[in-house]
Amino acid sequence: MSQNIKQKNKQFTVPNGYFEHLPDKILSRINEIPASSETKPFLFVLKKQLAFAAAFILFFVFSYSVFRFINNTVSDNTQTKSSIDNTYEDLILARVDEINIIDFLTNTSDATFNNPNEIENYLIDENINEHIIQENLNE
Amino acid sequence: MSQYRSDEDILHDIQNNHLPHKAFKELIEKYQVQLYYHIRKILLNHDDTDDALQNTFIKAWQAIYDFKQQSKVYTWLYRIATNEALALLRKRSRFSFFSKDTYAEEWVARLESDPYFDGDEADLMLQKAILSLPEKQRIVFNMRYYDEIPYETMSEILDTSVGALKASYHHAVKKIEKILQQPLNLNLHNSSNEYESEY
Repeated sequence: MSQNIKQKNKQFTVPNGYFEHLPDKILSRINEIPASSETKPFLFVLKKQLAFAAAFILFFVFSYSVFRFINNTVSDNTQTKSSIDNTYEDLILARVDEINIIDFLTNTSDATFNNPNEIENYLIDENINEHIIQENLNE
Repeated sequence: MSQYRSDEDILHDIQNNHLPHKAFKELIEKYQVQLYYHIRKILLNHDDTDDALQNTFIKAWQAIYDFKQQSKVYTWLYRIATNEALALLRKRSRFSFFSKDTYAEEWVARLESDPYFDGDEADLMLQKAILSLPEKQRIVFNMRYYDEIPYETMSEILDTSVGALKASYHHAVKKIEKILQQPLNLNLHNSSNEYESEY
């Protein structure tokens, strides 16, 4: 304390030897505090390590959750798209008449020949026996 | 040059369990006088001040392992000491028979008979004037006038803005001068560096 501060406080006096004995008096009171406080230094050191461990575990759990979430989302999207396609196909087919389907297939078939020569050429190319053709025509 | 190590060195020894009781004793020796007079001017009598000061250091010991040095050690200790002193003051006034009107006069009468008060008539008049101030103004006045604590440090200790502290001190000085009917000697050392180098 500066001299100026000491001078201003001089009217407040203390018993003789008060400041000499006070630290030991306080320390003896501290020593009487139950043992739980004495374990504080150990807990203090341990607390830092626990904090690191907890941070690492939290980071791992968070990363794993994000990974799982992204995977599930991609898989769900694929499944949903495929099921939507199937449903759409069924819906369209249910609305179209069967006769129309047969007509469509007949009209677009590769077996349709417009020219009689094409039939003859096809039969020759395929090496189909004349006898077999006759049998089919009779049926 | 100070006979004590820096707060950081003392704190390092305590928190790393390197002879913590010895290091804490050094901390008590370093700050006991300043904290004693700070508490004494709030509570006025020696016995109450002794109780509050011992409790201050015991509470500091119980919390020192969690102390993160976000504030300086001495501002932290001053804050604990102020809270302890105010708690005891409120407890004491709850069981006091003094009315607000006679509070200052009763305490001055006690001071006169206190074996640990060695003030003259002028000191008693000043104490009476200080006792007539509201609690916050009284603390601000004591910290600034008697202990010459810089406003920035007081701001940290009392968790109040510098502007509000300056206004409180100004009002307190005006009231005291009015009661004493003479100007106060406000020859303060304003350098905060000088204050901090003390410790």
